[in-house]
Amino acid sequence: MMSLNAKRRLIGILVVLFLSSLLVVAYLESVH
Amino acid sequence: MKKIFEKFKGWVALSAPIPDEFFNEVSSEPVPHHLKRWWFCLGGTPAYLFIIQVATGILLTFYYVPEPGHAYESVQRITYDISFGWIIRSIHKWSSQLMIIAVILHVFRVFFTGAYRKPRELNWMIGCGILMCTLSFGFTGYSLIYEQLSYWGATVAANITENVPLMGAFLARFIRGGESVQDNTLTRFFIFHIALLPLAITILLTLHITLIRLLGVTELVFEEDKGKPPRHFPFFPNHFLMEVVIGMSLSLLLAVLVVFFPAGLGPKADPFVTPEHIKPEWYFYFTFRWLKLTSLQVGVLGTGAAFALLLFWPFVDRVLVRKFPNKNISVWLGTVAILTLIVLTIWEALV
Repeated sequence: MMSLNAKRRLIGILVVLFLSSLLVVAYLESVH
Repeated sequence: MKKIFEKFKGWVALSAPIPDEFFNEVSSEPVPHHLKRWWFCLGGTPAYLFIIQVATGILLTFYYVPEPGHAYESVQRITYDISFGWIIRSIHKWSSQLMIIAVILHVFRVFFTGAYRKPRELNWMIGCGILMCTLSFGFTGYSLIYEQLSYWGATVAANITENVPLMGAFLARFIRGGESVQDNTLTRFFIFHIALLPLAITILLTLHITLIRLLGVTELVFEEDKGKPPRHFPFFPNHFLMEVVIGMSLSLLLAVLVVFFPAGLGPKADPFVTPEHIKPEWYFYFTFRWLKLTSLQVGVLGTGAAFALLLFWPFVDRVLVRKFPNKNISVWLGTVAILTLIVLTIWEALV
């Protein structure tokens, strides 16, 4: 079972990854 | 700045006098310890995906035209011409698939943990209603694209409905908006998809969550917890953060699916050309295969009987537990049912 701090850290990583994926999506839209 | 904020807080407290105890109660409800396992978050998952569906669905309706002569072309425009249209459409498509998977897995989890037992029978039945709404969302949404497979899938489904005993003809006419699939049918499916079904599922979800809050989460005791006193943890921030982790993971998964598997478009619907192989979406494969193995009448009655059994299972389970105590008959029957569903689904997929 994850601790609260571990969950917060994981959420931070997931947010960064998600924002990066938005950049990829924006790039794909620009070349679409 | 602080003074302005304090003034604003005072105005909100005066205009909406919600007592602080309400927020404390909502946020710090003690949750049974077993909910720390991720598969107990499968209820919040489809709720989160539903919000995504509503948001992307609203954006799609800005450009979708629910008229047979323009529906396909409007979807084509969304996919190839409108900025970010292909992204919104792909998110909507993939989110619907994930929502259906999540609802089905949630039903399995509730079934195999016996969380439908007294006093949660009504909540189980409401959950079955939510399952039906979710599958109907998928069916009506897919039909709105108005490509060959979606048009003929809707035609076949409406024809099958005619074989429902007593009210089959009426039901088929109600779904089609006439004696055959025509202009009215698409409008009807559109209204089902954007108005009636969202209304139904919102009411059912509100009742579902309210009952969970009133009855509490089922207390379960796992092997490793036997002999120990029951443990709890607060909903906020612990369980809430777990739900956020799952929500973010789903968002990431959706982004990956959209980038690598964007929604495409098949040939436009042609009422005069029947495709060689008409198939519904994958979550109806099992019932399609069952219809092909039996006759239309038996197929429809069988599917109806299976759903009725699912709906009233808490009462059937009570009888089974009384007759066969300590034998876990429900678990065995549930396992057989799931294996049957998987076999029928894979069989139809391979044909």
